[in-house]
Amino acid sequence: MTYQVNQLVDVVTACMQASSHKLVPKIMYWHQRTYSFTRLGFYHPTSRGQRMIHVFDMADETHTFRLEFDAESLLWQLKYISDGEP
Amino acid sequence: MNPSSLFPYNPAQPQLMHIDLNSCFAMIEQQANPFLRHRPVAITNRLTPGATVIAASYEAKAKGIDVGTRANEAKLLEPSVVVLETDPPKYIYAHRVFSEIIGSYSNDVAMKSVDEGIINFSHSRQLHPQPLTEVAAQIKQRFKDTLGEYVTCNIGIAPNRFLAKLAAGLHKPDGLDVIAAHNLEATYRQLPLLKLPGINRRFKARLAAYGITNCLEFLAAPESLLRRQVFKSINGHLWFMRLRGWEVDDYPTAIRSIGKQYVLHQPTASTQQLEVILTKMCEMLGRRLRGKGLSAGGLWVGCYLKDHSSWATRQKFKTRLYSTQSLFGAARHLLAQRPAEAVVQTLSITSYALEPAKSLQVSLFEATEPAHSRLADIIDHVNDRYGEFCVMPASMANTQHLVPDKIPFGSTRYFHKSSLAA
Repeated sequence: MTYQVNQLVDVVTACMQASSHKLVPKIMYWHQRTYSFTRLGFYHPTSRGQRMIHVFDMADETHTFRLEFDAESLLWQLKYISDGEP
Repeated sequence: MNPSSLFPYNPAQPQLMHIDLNSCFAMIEQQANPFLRHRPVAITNRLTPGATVIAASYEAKAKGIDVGTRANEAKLLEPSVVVLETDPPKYIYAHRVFSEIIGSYSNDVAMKSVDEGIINFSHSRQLHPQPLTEVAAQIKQRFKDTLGEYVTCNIGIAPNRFLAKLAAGLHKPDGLDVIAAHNLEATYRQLPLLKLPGINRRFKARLAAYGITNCLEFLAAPESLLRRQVFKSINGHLWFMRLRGWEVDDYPTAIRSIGKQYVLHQPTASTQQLEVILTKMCEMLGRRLRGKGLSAGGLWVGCYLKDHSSWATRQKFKTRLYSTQSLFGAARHLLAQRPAEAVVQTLSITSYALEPAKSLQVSLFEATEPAHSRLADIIDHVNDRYGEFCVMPASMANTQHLVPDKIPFGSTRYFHKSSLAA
């Protein structure tokens, strides 16, 4: 099941210049809870007009998360959370 | 008969590499969501029971679910199948990464579709002197490093495009095969005719009518038989050469038409509702046309009706169609000719007689299209900058849910420039 969230969240990231993914979310704080991501599923950039949005499909042991980073506002938004099933 | 006695096989070293991402859309969804890996996954353009599967994971294919299966049929074949709606931005990004990777090996590359590309190493061997199988292994690893560890691709290496594509399909998934003169007959010996790219059931039946029932017999067939009797055209000669590894498929293709199709959620006979949908389709069609710098001389409008019949009409116009306004005016004029009370299930529009837009000519008697054209260009510019449909005709208000932009099936030539800009 997928739950639409669309809320701004706090995210701790890792920046790795030698990796093919330069910036990867590691920890997310949302509703007084801490979520530690165990893997990056897929990254893709997209654009809304000339605004660059970096989209990360992340996963922990039980859930998947869609996070978007707005390169203009420098804000993270949690788009949805899912138990892995559609 | 010894087929090699008829005409030599191309003895050249294989220099063409065909790369094909495995079940691209399904695999990318499995990469994005680790809980879907090693499970049957089917991708459709819409989450409705009648929607057609446009990509299936290998696990789904093993259960008989393939491109063209309807979602409800897929559920019957495999109740645990996960049906997902397409997520075009992901696939467009994968396509962009694909293009960048293969473009780094040669300046002679061609993307054949979203997930298929060809590298011609003929003029770049000095840059890559190692065996092409090593280069192929490197490309496979680069896909994994960039797109994700679950992403695999088939690679075929051969002296022409046809054999390279054939080689790429020999050992799916994650295959790597080389076809050259020395193993050409051995490769054909193990394949049924339908495995050959470009041979469908209709062609198979046509070949069978002349006693050609397998690939080796096809290879052995004289050129005159193929040209004069089987294909009755130059195609017979092309197949004769193609099968022997000679290149006959390296030619540019021009865009002859650009179209848009939409399956309505609720079939309707209402002109008002259809015109709202038509406006948005014309805007999206216009964006594609203008993105390519083209204008249309004619328009085709067709409907698939609820009673399973269809209707279509076309017309060429004196003034070129370029702006959304002119396209909509022409499309509305044609749609009005549909049978009264026709309940429309699917609406299609296609522009044809395409020419570069700069040749627009001012008409003395009809609406001043160049003025509309300039306005269309300005609106496109605003939408490029601030996002799609920031500025749109008032008649398109509240149509966000209608006619979503979907991934163009097969071809990449209609990708809008803003889709690839990120």
